[in-house]
Amino acid sequence: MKSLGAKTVVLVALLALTAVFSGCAGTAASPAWSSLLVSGDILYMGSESGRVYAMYAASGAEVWQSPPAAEKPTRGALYAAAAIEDGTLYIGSMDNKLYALDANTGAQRWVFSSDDHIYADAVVADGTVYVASSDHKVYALDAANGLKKWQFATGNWVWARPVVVGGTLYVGSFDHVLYAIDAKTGAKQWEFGADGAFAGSPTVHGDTVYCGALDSKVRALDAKSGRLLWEFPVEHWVWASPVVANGVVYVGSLDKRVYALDAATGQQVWAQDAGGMVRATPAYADGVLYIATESGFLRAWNAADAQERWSFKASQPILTSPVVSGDTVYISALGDTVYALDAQSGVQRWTVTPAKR
Amino acid sequence: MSEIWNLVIFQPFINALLFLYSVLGRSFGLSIIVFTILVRLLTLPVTQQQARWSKATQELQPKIQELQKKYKNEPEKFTREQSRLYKEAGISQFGCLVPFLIQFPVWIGLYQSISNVLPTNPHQLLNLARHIYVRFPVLSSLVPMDPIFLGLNLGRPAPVLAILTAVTMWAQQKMMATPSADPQQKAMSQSMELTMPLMFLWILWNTASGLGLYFVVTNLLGMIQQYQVGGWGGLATVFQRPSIPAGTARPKGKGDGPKK
Repeated sequence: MKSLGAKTVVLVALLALTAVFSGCAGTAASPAWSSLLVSGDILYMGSESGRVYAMYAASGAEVWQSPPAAEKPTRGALYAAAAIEDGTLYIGSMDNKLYALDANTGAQRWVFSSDDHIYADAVVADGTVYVASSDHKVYALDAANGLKKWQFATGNWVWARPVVVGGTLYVGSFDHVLYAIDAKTGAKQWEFGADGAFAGSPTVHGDTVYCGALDSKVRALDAKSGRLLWEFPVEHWVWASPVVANGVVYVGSLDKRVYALDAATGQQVWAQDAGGMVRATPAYADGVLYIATESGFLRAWNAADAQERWSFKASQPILTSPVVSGDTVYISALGDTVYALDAQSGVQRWTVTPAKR
Repeated sequence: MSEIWNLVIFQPFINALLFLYSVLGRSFGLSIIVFTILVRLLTLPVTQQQARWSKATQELQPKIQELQKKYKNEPEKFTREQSRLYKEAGISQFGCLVPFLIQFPVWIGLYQSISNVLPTNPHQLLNLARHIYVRFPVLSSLVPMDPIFLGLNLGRPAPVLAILTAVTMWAQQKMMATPSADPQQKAMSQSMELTMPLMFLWILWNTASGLGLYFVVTNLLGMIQQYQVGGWGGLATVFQRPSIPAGTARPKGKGDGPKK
């Protein structure tokens, strides 16, 4: 009997092990976080289920969903924010594809397939859609039909949105290199190597490229040559893109702080604890910084001195960037719940979880 | 509770794997192998105890078979006498449980660590950020690690490692198996010998193969350890002619290894 008892314990332990390995304990769960785009009076968001939702920015009421509610979603989860140009919405998916949808109806126009997940936001410029993929490549596609114009291979995943300014595309890769590429031809102009991966997008302001990396540094590079102008060390990875306004660079870090740095010298103006990891790029509007944290807070701070005007606590972590449009700030919390808040007071105007309507 | 788990198991495992990766030529496969050897060394006292327990129970089998013949029609008395025999020999029938239960959190911790140290999506990367020791910049500079080892992506399932895990696990169990004449125990033992490998085959078929590499290495090391203590054990009988009944096979000892 004793022997049977020992074996029963082993079996129970094995079953528990199976449950853990199967993800029952939640260790393997990897929900997507969905990003927002506001264009005109419509708010667009992707979702974990692969559906794209269009809703009225004023009320959250649904305009359309793609695929329609009656159809089963077939796309992979959508981390990326949509890009919009000339009535077409472009959004990348975890099923390796970039979808072009009619912005008015959600009907699919064309699809481009890469060889791995697409987490990066697409960007549209001069009739070309630029999108990066975990297959290590950056693609330039004809916005009208999705045909490939060129591709540029990096040494690892590219999860960051490319930035196109003045005919040059800037993009960071997990191979620890930031690339400047000719946006027309795909030819490399220069590259800058760091001690950590580039998970977030650079920000180009004037002649300077500002970027953060997983080596816990914020850097300013000369946009023409890639020469390092200054660097500022923080205490954890920098995943969020820097925001530049009035000669100051604002950047959030996973060390839970937001830093304000002099854009010309990199000297610290202020640093303030946000109470949670800052993965998402802060939004800036009218002298106010809107900072989303992994602890579920949206904080509105005076950009000049980091004094808090108000804060709002969502029910889940906020891992995507707030979007300010008019007098409203929109956030998407984990679980695809959208909140619309009064930008002045932080008072909630509406909230909706489109999948649970 | 989860904070203690993270502090004691999860974070040290993740950072140990990163550190080993940095000093072993940036090979994640080698870092798992060395990690496994270190874990085996740390748990050597208990696994050695397990191997000795296995040998001792094998040696006791002739006496148990005698008891079984003697109390053929008195199962309750047989059970009592069997327990007494184990007690007199100083063998606990739960002796095999301690090493198993000690390895249990290691398996779970390693599973979590491999899943998180090789992030394949932003959510997993953020989870890694929560647990990496950022005060050691060299660890952050290793992200993302190269998951390829001998052509296998250790961050994704690899059936070959799942099969190898099942085979080596079955072989190790066979070496440790106690030949029993009691049909109920015999059936239970045979069922367990198959259940565990099959369960792990199913688990690892859908899990990051880095975990499979850990199991294959730890099973092979366990087999070497078991061989040193008790020879091939029940594994030797697997390849014997079917005319020799398994239950009456002479228990193998240290001297039953390959002859020079």
